[in-house]
Amino acid sequence: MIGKELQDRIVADVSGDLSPTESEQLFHELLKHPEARQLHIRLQRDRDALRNLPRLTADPALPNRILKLLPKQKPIIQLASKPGTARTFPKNHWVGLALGFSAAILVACAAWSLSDRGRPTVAVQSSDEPKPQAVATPKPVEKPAPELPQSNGPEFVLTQPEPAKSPAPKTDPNPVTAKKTKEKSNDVLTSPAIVRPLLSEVPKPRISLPLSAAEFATTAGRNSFRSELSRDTDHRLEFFTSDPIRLADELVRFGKSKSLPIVVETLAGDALRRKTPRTQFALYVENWVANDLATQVRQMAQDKRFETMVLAPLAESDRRELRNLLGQDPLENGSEKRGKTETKSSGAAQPNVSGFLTLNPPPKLPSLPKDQMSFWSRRFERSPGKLRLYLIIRSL
Amino acid sequence: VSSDDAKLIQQTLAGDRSAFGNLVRKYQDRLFNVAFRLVGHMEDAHDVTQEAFINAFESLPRFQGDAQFFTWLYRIAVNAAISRQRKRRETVSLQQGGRPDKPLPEPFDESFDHQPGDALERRESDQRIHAALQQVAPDFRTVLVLRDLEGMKYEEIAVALDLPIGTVRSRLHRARLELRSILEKTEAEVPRV
Repeated sequence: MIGKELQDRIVADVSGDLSPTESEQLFHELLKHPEARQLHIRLQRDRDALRNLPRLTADPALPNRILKLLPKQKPIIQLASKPGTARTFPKNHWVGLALGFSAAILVACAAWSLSDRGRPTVAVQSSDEPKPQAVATPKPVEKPAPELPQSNGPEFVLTQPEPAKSPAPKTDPNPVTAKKTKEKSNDVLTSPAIVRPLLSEVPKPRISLPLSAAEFATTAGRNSFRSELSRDTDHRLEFFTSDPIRLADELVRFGKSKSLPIVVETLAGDALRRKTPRTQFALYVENWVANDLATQVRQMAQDKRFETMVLAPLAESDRRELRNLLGQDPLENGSEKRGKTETKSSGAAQPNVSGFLTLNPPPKLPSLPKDQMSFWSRRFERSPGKLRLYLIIRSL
Repeated sequence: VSSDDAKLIQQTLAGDRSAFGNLVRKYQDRLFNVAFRLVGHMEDAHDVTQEAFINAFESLPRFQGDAQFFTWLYRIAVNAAISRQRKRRETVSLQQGGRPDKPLPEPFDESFDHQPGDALERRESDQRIHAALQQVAPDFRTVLVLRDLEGMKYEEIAVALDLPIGTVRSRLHRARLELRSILEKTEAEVPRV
């Protein structure tokens, strides 16, 4: 049973909402919780399947069809010569509005002046007098009022310091002039809403990708592996297997088949030869090609060489482990230019190497520095764009 | 708004229809894809795309230019898709022998995968996902489509759907779980060989 809180974090991780630290923490929890791990894997698979759905193309005749169906009249807009006057309406609407408005003002003025209630405060009010109720809450606007038809109501427009309701258009429909219009206001209350700029493109945090061998049989599983692999050149790859000897042996053979031999540390070599069960290995390799690796992992999954694997970005802690493994950090220390083989002073050809296999954790043996030296002295020149991998083979 | 879009919009507003045609050409495929995943039918998706563009043309003067043109177009398309689905439900419930509310098989790009086995497997997987997606509640489905298929950011989805970002996040959360639950049911129904 998966708790609600854990489930929430799993979904958030799949949606890319967790920070790298939170993802890492979740990853460790998932290792202890098989059911939750399954959910995580499945949700990731669903997400990848959605992302990989084929892109369809619309009917090529669509633009022509749409253009035929568009209303004959162009969108009602006249490019504004000055802000606030951009929106116009068909003339007949204006005529009606103008007539109605003028008539209403005339009637109101007449009624006001005929009544014996004193002078019309709205019409002649000076700015220091208290405002009447009708204009108690004026909305000051930064934009000039639109070009309304000139009404016959004499002082109304002129003496009103701030019109109670300005029929100014809400927006400038022209996207170019609209922005300019907005910038003019300095009034906090009346300035247009601040449109927050979209957050700049933030690179998606890299997270651990656990995949079972069965998932490599699906396109979605393989695609997610490939896509994660293509995001960087440095990765940590952790295999969980019931036969670590065979898996380590295959990886060493694979390196050799690609002319990228691996130095096998003495004790690890013994374990391989004797097929010591439940041995755990750590392997550092470089110059591996992503495609070759993906094919090899797929093949190993097909052959059931491992149960689960986890692909993760190479973290600082991994680099510490690599320093422990190799005596120094291979990511910091570039290799010297070397050819495919180098001839020793003795005359025997020593193939260059691009990996180092040892036990996990590395044994505290006097032979270790010697083996490490063998790696450092025969290391290939690293090709940019090729992979640097820290592989850990764990026994189940 | 990108400068290209702003220019095309300005030209359209000035009465140049071919400029709007260029906008249609530029965005028709993306909009059609979204529409198809939302409504589930090719014909409806074409109708929704067409309707969205026509509505966009009519509403272009109201476009303020403070969001991406395509985000704004999404909103129109999503509204058109919702209204299309509503109409479809009404039609199906009235017509007893009407077309069942089951998505038609979609055409696939056969050249995507050259290996016959892989192509077949992929096609099946795509069909299963598409069918399951159609069963997800429309509100959730929309967010899922915009996020996973279109790769939109939360902020963009929030603008496109006129929702707070928190709501987008929670809908996406529920959508993922709902889709998983639907797929689990489907997987359980598939006879194992």
